[in-house]
Amino acid sequence: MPDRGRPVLEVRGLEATLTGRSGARVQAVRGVDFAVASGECLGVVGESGSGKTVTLLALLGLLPETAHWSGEVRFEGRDLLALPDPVRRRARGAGLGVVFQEPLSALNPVFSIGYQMMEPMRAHLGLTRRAAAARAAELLELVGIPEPGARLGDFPHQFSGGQLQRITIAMALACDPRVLIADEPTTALDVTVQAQILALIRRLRAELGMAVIWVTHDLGVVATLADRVLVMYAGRVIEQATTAELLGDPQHPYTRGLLAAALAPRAPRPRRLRPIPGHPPAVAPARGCSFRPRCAEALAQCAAREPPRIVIGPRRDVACFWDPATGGARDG
Amino acid sequence: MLTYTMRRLALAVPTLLLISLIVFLLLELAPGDPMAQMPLTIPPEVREQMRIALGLGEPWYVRYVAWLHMVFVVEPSHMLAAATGVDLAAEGSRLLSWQSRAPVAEIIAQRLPQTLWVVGLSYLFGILVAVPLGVASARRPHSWLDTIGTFIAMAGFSVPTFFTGVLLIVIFSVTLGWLPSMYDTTLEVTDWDSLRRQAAQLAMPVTVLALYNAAQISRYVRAATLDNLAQDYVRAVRARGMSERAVLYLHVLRNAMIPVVTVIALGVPNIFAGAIITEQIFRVNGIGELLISAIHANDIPMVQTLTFLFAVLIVLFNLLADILYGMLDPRIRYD
Ligand SMILES: Nc1ncnc2c1ncn2[C@@H]1O[C@H](COP(=O)(O)OP(=O)(O)OP(=O)(O)O)[C@@H](O)[C@H]1O
Ligand SMILES: [Mg+2]
Repeated sequence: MPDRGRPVLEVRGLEATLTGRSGARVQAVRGVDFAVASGECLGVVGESGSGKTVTLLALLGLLPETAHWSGEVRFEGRDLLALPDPVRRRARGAGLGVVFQEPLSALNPVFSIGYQMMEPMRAHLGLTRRAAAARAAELLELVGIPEPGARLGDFPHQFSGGQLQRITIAMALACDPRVLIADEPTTALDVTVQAQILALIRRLRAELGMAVIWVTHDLGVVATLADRVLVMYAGRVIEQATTAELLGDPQHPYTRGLLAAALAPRAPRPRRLRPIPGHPPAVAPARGCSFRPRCAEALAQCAAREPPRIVIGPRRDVACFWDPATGGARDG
Repeated sequence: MLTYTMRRLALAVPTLLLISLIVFLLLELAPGDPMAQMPLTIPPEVREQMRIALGLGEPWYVRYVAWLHMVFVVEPSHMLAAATGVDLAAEGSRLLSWQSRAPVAEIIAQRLPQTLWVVGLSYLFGILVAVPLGVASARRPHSWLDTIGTFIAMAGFSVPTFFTGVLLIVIFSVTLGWLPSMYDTTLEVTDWDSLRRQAAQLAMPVTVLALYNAAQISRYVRAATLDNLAQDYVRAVRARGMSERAVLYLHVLRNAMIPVVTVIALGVPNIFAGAIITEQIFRVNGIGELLISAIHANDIPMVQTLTFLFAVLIVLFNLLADILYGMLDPRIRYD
């Protein structure tokens, strides 16, 4: 899709350090920058543990109190962190719709889903109880929950996993967000329902100009939904490109590995990520590129320092010294 | 829910019968003679006649059945008659206290209000202190407020009520002279002044028990709140832009109340037991004091009935705790 001008959400220099239960500190996000424009869909891919969820939580200001983090988050031109608390809360609650990774644990077990859907509508949109209930039923209908009006009074445990996932998507859409932030929202859905949801998201993007950040393991979803893709590895963005460029001409050895694994003919689950040999590091090595231990193309300089973000095209960059075109080091 | 409650109530009947039998037998086997307090000048034949008059000549099972009849049929019908004027005309003699020769039920009815005032107010105040304190402690663990909360809890747990009671008497009655150290049982609340005096004499026993209750409950509230604050749904509610107040006092507290309400209901019989000691210290003539004096006087019918009443309380509040649990947690369905 074409570029649509000013970014609605812009993240610069995001860093986050978490403290685990044992007291060990994990540098989960190390300098992430990206931006999404209205109506644009940004796909975020990366192995488990690469810092996708922590990135989203950090930009939303929802990390636990024990976490340290820094960076700049601009939403509609305003620095979210500089806003006074109630304003920020409202901006976040109404402007950014969030779908969390685990739908069951993201819902309060003792309130009906109707109540939980209506609560932000009444707080942010000022809807009456009746209007909010009508809208909640409408949204449930939209995501394909049968008999939505009758089910508003039901509690989370009375729905299936896939239904809950759709309910949390409906909740995220409740206040007509400017940006929808979804963390693996379709993993528990069967193919037809997933196609329905993706069609719905595409429609909302076109009609309302809603921007979307879609975290997924599924490169098939990325190919159909995303305009641009971020590839994350060990807390960093290692490659950023339009979907076509990324799928057609991946630059980073890690991205190339991901695609090769996903497109391998004998892969047990085609189009899904298949592991690249080795494991992602829990903590990045002190020196050099964090992917080097698993990299088949590693050069001498990869051990010396972490490759910086190298801009190689309009809105396209990669954090790697190796150049697939030459098989040697990039120049410049 | 209703069928579940009914089933539980039906199950409570054999439980209570068994407890009543155990209570009866324990006191039966305990050493002690109801005549021990009688003057030694009473001749042995008269003594024997008095024993028979008290029903002590019969074997234990006959007396057990007679006691059951009195506790479950005769006394309730008399209480009903006294309260509403409806006379069911239940047959049989009433259960009399050996000590005072008055019906046990009537003595208990006289003593119960004092205990209910002390126990009820202290539980109420205890909860009113414990819930905000527990939530605030959990909100900011290791803050000064949490430290104070921990201190109160430790004090309430580890310092026995007879010590705090005496301490309060020394400070407020002996040294400062602000509050009466003895409960005036004849005081009737008729106007502002008597109400003020009633409040003054309730202040210390209620404070002692409230502190004890707050100590226990606030720990449960704190633990349950902390537990819930770590849940993912809290993050989701915040993400939807709800205020911290709504997060804490609506979403989290509503969840935390599930274990806390259960603990509060289960704790009610305990604080009746705790009131026994407090009533002794402040000379409140409630049922705790009644039980102690009945034990001293070997007044077996009174002790049996009171012990049994405590057992009824425990069974009933266990049932209540279960029912409340089912009502508060939509994931629990008993039917
Ligand atoms: N609450 C936490 N406390 C400590 N460490 C954490 C916490 N949450 C995540 N981490 C660590 O941060 C790193 C990034 O985790 P994150 O959840 O962002 O991964 P992810 O990319 O979302 O993975 P997945 O695809 O499995 O969801 C991991 O090393 C993880 O162990
Ligand atoms: Mg994740």
